[in-house]
Amino acid sequence: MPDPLYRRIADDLEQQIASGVLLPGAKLPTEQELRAQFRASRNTVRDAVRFLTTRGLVQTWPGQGTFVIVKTEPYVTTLSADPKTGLGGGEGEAFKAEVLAQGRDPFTPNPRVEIKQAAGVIAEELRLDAGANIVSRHQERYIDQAPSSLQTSYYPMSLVHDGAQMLMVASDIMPGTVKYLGDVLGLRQTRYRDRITVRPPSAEESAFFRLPDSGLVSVLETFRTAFDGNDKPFRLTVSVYAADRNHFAVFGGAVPTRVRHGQSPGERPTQDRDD
Amino acid sequence: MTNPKYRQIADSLREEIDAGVLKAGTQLSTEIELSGQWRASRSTVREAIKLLTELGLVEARPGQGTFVRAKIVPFVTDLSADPAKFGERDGDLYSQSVKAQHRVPDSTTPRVETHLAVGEVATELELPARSLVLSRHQQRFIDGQPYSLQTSFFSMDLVTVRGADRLIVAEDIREGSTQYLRDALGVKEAGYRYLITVRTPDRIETTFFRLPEDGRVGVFENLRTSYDQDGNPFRLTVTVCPGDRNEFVMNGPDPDIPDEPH
Repeated sequence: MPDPLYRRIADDLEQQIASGVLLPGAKLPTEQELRAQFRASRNTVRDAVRFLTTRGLVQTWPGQGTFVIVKTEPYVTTLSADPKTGLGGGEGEAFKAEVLAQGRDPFTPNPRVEIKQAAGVIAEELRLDAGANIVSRHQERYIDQAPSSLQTSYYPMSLVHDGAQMLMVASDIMPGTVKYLGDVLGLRQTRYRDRITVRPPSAEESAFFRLPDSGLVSVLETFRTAFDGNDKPFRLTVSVYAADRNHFAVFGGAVPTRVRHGQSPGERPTQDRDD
Repeated sequence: MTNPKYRQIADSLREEIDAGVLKAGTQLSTEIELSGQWRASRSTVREAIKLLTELGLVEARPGQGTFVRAKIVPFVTDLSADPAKFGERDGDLYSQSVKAQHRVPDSTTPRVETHLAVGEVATELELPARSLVLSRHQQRFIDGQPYSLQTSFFSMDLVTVRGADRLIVAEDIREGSTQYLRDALGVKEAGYRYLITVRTPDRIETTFFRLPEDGRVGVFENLRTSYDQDGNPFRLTVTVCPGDRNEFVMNGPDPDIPDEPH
């Protein structure tokens, strides 16, 4: 499809934001002005503004207008496995390493650790009876000081009984939970499965991510179930990402190194990096 | 930050619906009951119900009350590489996976267009801006309901220089374009990358998918770039599908497929 007019208007405004013609905090031209400038209908102009809103570029304040917000460069999480470790991206210590590798600044406060009873999707994924005790480790994650995602990992309490006491400690497990469970229990993650869904944010999530009240920014929710050598699930990690500042990559087969390391389209490294 | 009361009420009801406490067909408590239960004004309760209605979770039946709607059964797309099928026929891969979920697939005859490559089409296909590209666009349905809009982009060179003539014919390529390019030109899909983003639907999408007007149901916009055995991109497929009826799975790691050649 040729780019529809609203996309061209959005592109034009995005260009102005990127080049600094429109600075953070600046007010966008009014709907009337944009309509005249692009000879577009009201709906088309609204679509363009909506599109920029979901990209986290502008925010509309009722009765005041639409303003450029401080741009957060989307962060790309790779969901498919790292060819070297076989582990998926986006969790625990790997998260910090990945963020640093993209030249950005990760921050994760200490996790909130709770004992809960398994129900619903957690019981299903971990193949536990409803009501079985589980350890939940919940963490807020920031990139460049902006709230980026919320992550909660659930473990069967039996892992603690078997000796993985650290799961109960409300601080980061170094150098990562998978490594720790391998060391103390000989547990090895042989595969995992991600389910990727999208939904409107809850009120709590809207507050944490500071999402516009319009509800135009969705959250992406991933459910990752990790399996051990006996193909028994031992961990469920639920991550909630604000869609305006997060993108996701999945690789399959042989992909050129420049693409695997390129963080977003249009940002190709000039030289292939080899590690 | 604000956490308005209507959102709290809506979130709480949504949790009960998600958890199956409130099943499809169940009548919600009345406005009066809810306002008593939450110590909220009736207009606040009305706002909460309005939000749930927009999300497609409940529906008002005039004169009867508000009821929980039957959940849309999501279509699940597997993003991981299936070693057995990798790089082979992709055309009926979609319809097969729909059928495997015991559902009925359908899609329109492709609309074939030519364009000058700009933006992500140029970047992903690694073509100079304004190169000639062709696109094949299809609407896809499951059980008669609109599920996705898909557009594949190819460099026009594949047709004019290399002779993949069927790409510019507005007719379904039954075996899929991957298989066709492999048979016709020896271009083999060796790998791919998905880039997954979520945004609000535009007007065309809102109408086609029959989504609520206010943009609260987000759509996935997934870019899938295919690379040949020499590491060159030869196809970009953009799929737009609403988040209320689509989800994705990914299995890791894929052990049987070699990683990038060094």
